[in-house]
Amino acid sequence: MNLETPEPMDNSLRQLERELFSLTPVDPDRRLTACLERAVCAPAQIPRRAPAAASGTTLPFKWKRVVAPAAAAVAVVAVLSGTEGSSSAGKSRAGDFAAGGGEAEGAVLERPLSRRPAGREAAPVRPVFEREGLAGRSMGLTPVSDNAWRTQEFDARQTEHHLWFNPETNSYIQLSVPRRSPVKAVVKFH
Amino acid sequence: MTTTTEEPVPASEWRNWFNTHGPRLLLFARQQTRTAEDAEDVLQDAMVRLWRSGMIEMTEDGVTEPSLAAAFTQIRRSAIDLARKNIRRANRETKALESDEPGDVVWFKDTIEADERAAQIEKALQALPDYYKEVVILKIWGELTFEQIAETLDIPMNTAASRYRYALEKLRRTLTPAKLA
Repeated sequence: MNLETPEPMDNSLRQLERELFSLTPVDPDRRLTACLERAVCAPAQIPRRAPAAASGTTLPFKWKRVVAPAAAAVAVVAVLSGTEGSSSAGKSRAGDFAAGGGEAEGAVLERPLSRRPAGREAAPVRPVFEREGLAGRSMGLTPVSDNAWRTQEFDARQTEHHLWFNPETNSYIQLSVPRRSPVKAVVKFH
Repeated sequence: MTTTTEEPVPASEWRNWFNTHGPRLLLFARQQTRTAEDAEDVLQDAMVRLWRSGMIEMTEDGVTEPSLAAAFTQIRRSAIDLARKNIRRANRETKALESDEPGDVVWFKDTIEADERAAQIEKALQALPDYYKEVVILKIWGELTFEQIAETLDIPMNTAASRYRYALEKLRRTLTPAKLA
């Protein structure tokens, strides 16, 4: 027994305590146990959020079928990234959807995420942005002065991955945008 | 060692752990809620949180599992969350508290087995104020120390100890003294 009270207890209290110890809590029934096991041991899914309808502060997340998905995807990336050269990067990809099937292929995000009202609860859409490491090739030395300073040019290649999750439908859209940009590295000869 | 995990939980570890602690956890969930359905919801929410992203400890045997104290703490938090989620539900709980009537959920096997004395004790226990009841349950069936109870309920340790004693004294007054002899 787990007895540790600040003051000693009289016999009747101790007997009552023993009686309490003798009672056995009801076992969880099989249905509850099975239900819990499914919930606990299932593969991890997307973290639960408050239902969008209940919050009243989230924007709807709609998927729109388009005729030319690749071109539309490029346009969306151009809007969202706001950087130069994204549309000229050319090859973009929309697809690889996890669920839904029919509506998935060739879909783009209809509303930009930036329309979410400031200070309000986040929409159930998770934007993910990844950038692969730089790769490139040397373009040679370019003199910038008569003596020691030179620059070395690289043709930098990188791929940006834009991913939006919609936990409500367990679907996502991914855009992979290859970029090329010249990078000048200053070198000094001793 | 304490870690957090998002990895799938091994079913065998979960099953062993829940087979050992399930009855006392369910008992505490029932004490913290007003209906059997709420208790099951709270238990499920707490277990998922605890095992998926909660604090998992490695035992001396190399088994990773949450501590019992952490489980009780999570059940209490989930019960509070559930009460806050729905105002109407919270109002019902308030009314139930004010009426000071015991719930209709059976807590102990002994009561189901028509043990008259067990039924009498259970009725008296369920009629206790919640702040007494939760201490008694954590102490007797949760097998927690007063220090762990204090941490679980976020109260001073002396308060936990005195509530336990007052609860026993109140139970003694409620139950027929002759049967305690």
